[in-house]
Amino acid sequence: MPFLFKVRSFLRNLFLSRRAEVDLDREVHSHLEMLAEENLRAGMSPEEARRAARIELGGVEQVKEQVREERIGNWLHSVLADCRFALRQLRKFPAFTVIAVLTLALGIGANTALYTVVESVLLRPLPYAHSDRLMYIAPKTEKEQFSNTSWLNYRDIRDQSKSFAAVGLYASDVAVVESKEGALSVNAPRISTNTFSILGIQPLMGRTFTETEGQRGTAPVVLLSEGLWRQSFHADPEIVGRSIRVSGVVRAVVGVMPQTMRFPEESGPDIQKAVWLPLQPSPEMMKERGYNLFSIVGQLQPGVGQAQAQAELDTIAQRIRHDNANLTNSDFGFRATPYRELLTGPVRPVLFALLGALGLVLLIACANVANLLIARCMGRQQEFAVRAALGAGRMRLMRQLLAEGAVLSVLGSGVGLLLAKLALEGVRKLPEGTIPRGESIAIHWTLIVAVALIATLTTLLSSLLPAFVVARTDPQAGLQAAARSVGARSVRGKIAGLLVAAEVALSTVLLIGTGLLFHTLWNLQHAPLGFAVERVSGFTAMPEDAAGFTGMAVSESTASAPVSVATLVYAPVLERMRHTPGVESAALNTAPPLSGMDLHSDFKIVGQSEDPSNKQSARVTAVSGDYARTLGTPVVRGRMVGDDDSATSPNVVAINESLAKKYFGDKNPLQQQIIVGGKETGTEKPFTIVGVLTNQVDSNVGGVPDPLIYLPYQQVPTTSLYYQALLKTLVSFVVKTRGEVAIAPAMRAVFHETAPNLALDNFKTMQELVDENIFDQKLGLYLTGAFAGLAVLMVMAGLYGVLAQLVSYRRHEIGIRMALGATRQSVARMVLRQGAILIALGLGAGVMLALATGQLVSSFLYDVRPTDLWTYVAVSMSLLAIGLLASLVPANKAASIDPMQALRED
Amino acid sequence: MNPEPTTLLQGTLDLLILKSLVAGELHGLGISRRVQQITSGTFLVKPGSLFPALHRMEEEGWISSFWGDSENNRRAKYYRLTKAGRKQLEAETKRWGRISWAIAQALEAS
Repeated sequence: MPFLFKVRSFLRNLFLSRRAEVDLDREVHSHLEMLAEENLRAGMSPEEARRAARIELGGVEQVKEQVREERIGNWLHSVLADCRFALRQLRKFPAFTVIAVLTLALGIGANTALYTVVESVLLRPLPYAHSDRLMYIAPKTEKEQFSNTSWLNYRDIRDQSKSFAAVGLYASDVAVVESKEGALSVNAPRISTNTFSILGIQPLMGRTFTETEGQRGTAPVVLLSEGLWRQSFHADPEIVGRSIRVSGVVRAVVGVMPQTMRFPEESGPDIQKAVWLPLQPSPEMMKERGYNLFSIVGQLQPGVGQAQAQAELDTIAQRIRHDNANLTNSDFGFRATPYRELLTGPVRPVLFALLGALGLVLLIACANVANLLIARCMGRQQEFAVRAALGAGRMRLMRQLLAEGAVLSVLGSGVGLLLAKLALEGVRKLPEGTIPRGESIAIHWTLIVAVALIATLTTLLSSLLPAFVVARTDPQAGLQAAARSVGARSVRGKIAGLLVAAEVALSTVLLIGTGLLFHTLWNLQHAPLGFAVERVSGFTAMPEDAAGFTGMAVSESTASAPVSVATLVYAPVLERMRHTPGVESAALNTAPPLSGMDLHSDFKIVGQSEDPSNKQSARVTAVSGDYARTLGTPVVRGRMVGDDDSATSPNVVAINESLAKKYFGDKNPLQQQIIVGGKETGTEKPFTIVGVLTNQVDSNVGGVPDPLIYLPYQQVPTTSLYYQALLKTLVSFVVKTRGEVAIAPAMRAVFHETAPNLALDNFKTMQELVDENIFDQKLGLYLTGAFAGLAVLMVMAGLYGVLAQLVSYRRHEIGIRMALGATRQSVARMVLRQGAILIALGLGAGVMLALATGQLVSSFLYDVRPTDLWTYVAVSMSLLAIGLLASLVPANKAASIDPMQALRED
Repeated sequence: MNPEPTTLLQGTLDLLILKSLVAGELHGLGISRRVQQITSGTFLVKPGSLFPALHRMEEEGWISSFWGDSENNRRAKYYRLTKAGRKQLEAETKRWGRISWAIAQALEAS
């Protein structure tokens, strides 16, 4: 049996060190020579003497092997005996065993589940070829996670870089796909044709884009995602070669990409139902270095490091700066970051923080089991003393306890794995996109290694301390009956007490974290939104011929500006919506709060000298009349722009408070004129500011809203880029209803009659949007709250256990005290004081620890300082209360000791 | 300490080795010869069973070993009884007495 052979040789190496081998060899040889000498003395010839000796010995190697077998066998035998004995012991104390196993199972299960998440999300490579060499190249100055750059920059990096084997370009975009099911708005990333070979992903059927398809003027093509192909085209096996309409353009389907293709990953779960379009450079893109709509990915050459690539990018940036004198930005440059790191960046600290919190819970679990084992040792003091007196080595006794710890850990791991599986089911039920790469979370083989490590750790942590305590056993003292009544002053009592204090400290840290997050969530839920959420819902609409953000162009012929879609389509639609039963008011806004829609633009204040190093910029949105009323947002000054501001009336805008404060300070912004964009965007005419609106939350609840400009939707020049970006791509509607009703059916009916070619999506109430926005904090609170709850339960159990043990071992002493006149109250007080001392010790240490680590959580907090006094006070008070609660039962037990009985027992 | 009857023989060997060491330290061959001597030649302990037994007993803590010079100035490994070994010898002796008494009784009865 080769396997067994391996195990044996492994064990041999483990138990017979080289030194022992040499020693054994020398011993057997000296024995052989002594035998020979004996034979020589008996009168044999030297040769005969050696031969006889060898016969008597029976072969040097055989003897050595027998010794080795004996040692291994003996070891295995005693280990098995230890485990059997441990199991017998555990069976004898079922309550202890169940508590210990459950404690460990909770700790191990939670850690295993979280480890699985961390492993799947942070550690596992992306499903692309050489994904470890995939880098994202962003402009140096941008702080955003996936910030964009221009096609010209891409061209220069692609042509000049030698560190990258290939450089690809893509842009997130949206499009309307028409099928028999109707119009559907989907993600439609434009992607350079070489990106597919960089990712190394093969199509499910058909092919990826050819190089010529990346140039203008070739026949339009499209790649479908497996998800969209299944959903909208019923997994049509003949789809390749067919033509479909994508945003009004007829495109030939060249292939279907498998589910593993989720690039660009930063688009989130929606990418599973996407189409990919070839990115074709337009004249605008090739002209303007500030046309920042694109993302660059590069695959490093094998053997080239990040630093080397970065150095080369710096050189390229320097050359670009040198060749383009009009680049005013002095710190123009590029930064290469591993793509996966960028993708998981936002959750990395969260996951590690949670892992830290759970590590604390596991430590508490171990401390508790250690305490239980120590308590048991106190009960078994005599047993150990007897065994030590009978000659059991210290190692032997320690091994016994380690075996008990190991058996408990194995049982705990088993139950813990089941718990972990349940927890992972819960993780899968989280809304999609909560965790990037969440779909890849699964139990992998590395989990076995992780659990084995955790189990070893818990074994060592929970049984080493008791083992050392046992090793220090003085058999003499143990055998003397008097030693059994030692109280908190004994070494063991002290250690058990310190462990409980440590548990209190750790749960203080967790509770303070929970408290701070709770405070944060409360603040967020009461943070000013700038709008009323009650009975307001929103949805998006996309025209079938949506331009897409990357397909925009300034119309050259200004002479015949077309009539705006605002007047042609949206105004009549809004009119119908307002007359729908149950609708109080309705409005259009291209970037409503928390929608994720975002268009930033530079603007100039007329009459103010320009400062090129400090450009004025703001978010821009187009709105219909009634918008402020529908959302219940108060107008601070002047008036809101409305439906009366038509294409022919004077150009006006409203701004938000942030803009007024940032760019006008104390001055009155009303009647000031601004130019939004400029010549290159096709908007040269100035707009007059007529009103200031209360700030609305934009991207996140509790954040500071960016400056914002509200353009009347009919006044957006139809020849400008803004027209295509704002009104021809994706618009949002907000509807205030009279009651709490779902608006989707009625709205779909309205569009069906008036504008059947618009794809409607994303029906959500404002409350849902707010809830989604603070979901991270909520999830964080629930998790740390759960961990803290777990920790507190364990602390209660631990404290109760220690005090109860204490009382039972001091029965005799308490009996004497009572016989000498101590009252029941004073005895109870004594026990309570003992508990209070432990809690106070732990609280003190825990508060110090929390103060020291407070900065770690500060990025999750809103309007709460990490050293928030009330949180600290509340946590301290509640832990004290909890501790006293756990001490009440043992105190009561101590107070009800009958002195006569207690004294008679010994 | 092991109650299983199959270990009787092993127990016997252990007992004899312990007994042989009462008078003082001995090396492997010395133990072998001493056992032969005190059992009047009944037991001949072969190295194949002697060394495993010595190593096991050393691990149990009944005997300890050290390197020394033999009577012929040869390096040899010597064994001596430990305190635990002496206790073990006492216990084993008692146990052996009980067993041999019981067996003698049993044999007489039939």
